[in-house]
Amino acid sequence: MVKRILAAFGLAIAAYVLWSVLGAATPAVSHPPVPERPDGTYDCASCHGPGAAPRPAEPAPLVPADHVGPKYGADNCLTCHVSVVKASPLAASYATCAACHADTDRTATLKSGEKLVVAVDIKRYLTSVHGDFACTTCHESQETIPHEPLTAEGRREFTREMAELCTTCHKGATASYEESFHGMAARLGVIRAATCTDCHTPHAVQAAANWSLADRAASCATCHSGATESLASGWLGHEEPSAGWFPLVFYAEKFFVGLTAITLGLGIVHVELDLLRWAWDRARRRKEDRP
Amino acid sequence: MKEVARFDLHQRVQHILMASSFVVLAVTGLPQKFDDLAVSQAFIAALGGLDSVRLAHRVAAFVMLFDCAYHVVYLFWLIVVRRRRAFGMVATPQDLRDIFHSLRWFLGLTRTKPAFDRYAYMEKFDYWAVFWGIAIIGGSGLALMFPVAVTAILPGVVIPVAFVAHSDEAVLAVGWIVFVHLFYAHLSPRVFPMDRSIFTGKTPLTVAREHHPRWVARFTEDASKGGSVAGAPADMLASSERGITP
Repeated sequence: MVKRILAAFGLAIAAYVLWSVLGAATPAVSHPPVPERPDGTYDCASCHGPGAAPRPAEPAPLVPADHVGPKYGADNCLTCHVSVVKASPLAASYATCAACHADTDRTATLKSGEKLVVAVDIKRYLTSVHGDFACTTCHESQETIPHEPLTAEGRREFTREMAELCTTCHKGATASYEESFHGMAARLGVIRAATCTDCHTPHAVQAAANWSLADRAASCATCHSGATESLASGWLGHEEPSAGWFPLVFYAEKFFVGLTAITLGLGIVHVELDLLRWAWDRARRRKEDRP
Repeated sequence: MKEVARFDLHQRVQHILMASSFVVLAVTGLPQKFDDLAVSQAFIAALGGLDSVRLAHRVAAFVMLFDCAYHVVYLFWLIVVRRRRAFGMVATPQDLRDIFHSLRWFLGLTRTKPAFDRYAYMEKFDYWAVFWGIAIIGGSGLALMFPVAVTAILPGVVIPVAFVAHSDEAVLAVGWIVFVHLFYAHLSPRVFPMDRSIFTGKTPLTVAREHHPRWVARFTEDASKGGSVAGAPADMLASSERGITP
């Protein structure tokens, strides 16, 4: 009897595990691999374009006649039809946003009157580390349509406001940013001081390991004109210097702390001894002066 | 009151430039280092924000660098052009003996104070510390100010190293001035409220006899030999020419 109950339990657990694994698995992409042009953009037109050769084995519907206008550019198909390349459960929500934000000329006007480009390069976004997130994961305030008016005064203020969102998840990076000279300048009210998206871009964030030195240098150069890979190579990233990470910085810090402690310590001891000797002499003189 | 000439006009001007630029650098630099303190933030806001504070910091930095260049040119002029033996600040074995003598005196192991020459070892340390400080803080400050130009020549790691060096070495410099230099120039009961010689250029003969007996002995001996200044520190010539002013 006990054996049967245990067996039933085991069966139930196995079924549960199987069910969760299968249930959580992402749906597969049903579309065949999309050919790419030499510049890396998707070539949808080779199958779906007006002059595409018929494909009896894999019939491809042609682009509908109502798909005309600025947002239906040659490279914009993926903005809405993202499930063609990416089987993300969140992919469906892109389409709603893309209906407007695929238009590369689309801008919003901020309080100061500055124009803010509100278009997203969807292919770069999908290959970024955040590519699995729906737009509203970060842009929560844009969930209602029509959107609430933007609260930022100007473009820099908007950038700073958006960078606040990064800190929700990236706690460690935020702490090290606060320690950096960019973070210090930002905290002291310098609005142009670099914040998260100035280096990492808003929609094409790469994992640090995949981020080439040339790309880093290009990021530096957006503010520090003429910045080379040499300058970028000195960036500590979001890690404290240690014996294994930027040892020169680590040991320089140790050296200067030691030097300061020893020099100031000896100087202060010298002052104190000098003062004590003076007080001692004076006390002795007074004693001698006494009748 | 008899007075002895101790510093010439160039040296006094150099000290004023150094002291004033140092105060501006410290006052505008420390709030940047300790920027998370409310007092730092209030101070920076009162000065019109970080950009104004940095401008003041950089102007003062160039005054200090100019001052150092002025001093080096002045030394060159004194030693090479006017052929004076202006080596009073050079450390000698006597300084080492004086250090041990001082320690024995502090600890009551001897009844005699060390008899210093024109510059005591503490004054020499103050003087040479500026060379080290300028090399470290000035060099790292320029690297932080021109990171693109500097990394075009040097590897990128010099920038974070400069950041560490600039900020830590500045604490040493400010600490030394506040705890040691200000003590010997102002708070020490022997000079309180202040030693005026670096501003007036003169020091009372009685004070010179007490603090720098070997120096006084040297030039009074020279004077007694008919006013010859041979053997006296060369940059003292101007004062020796005037002799001991009544």
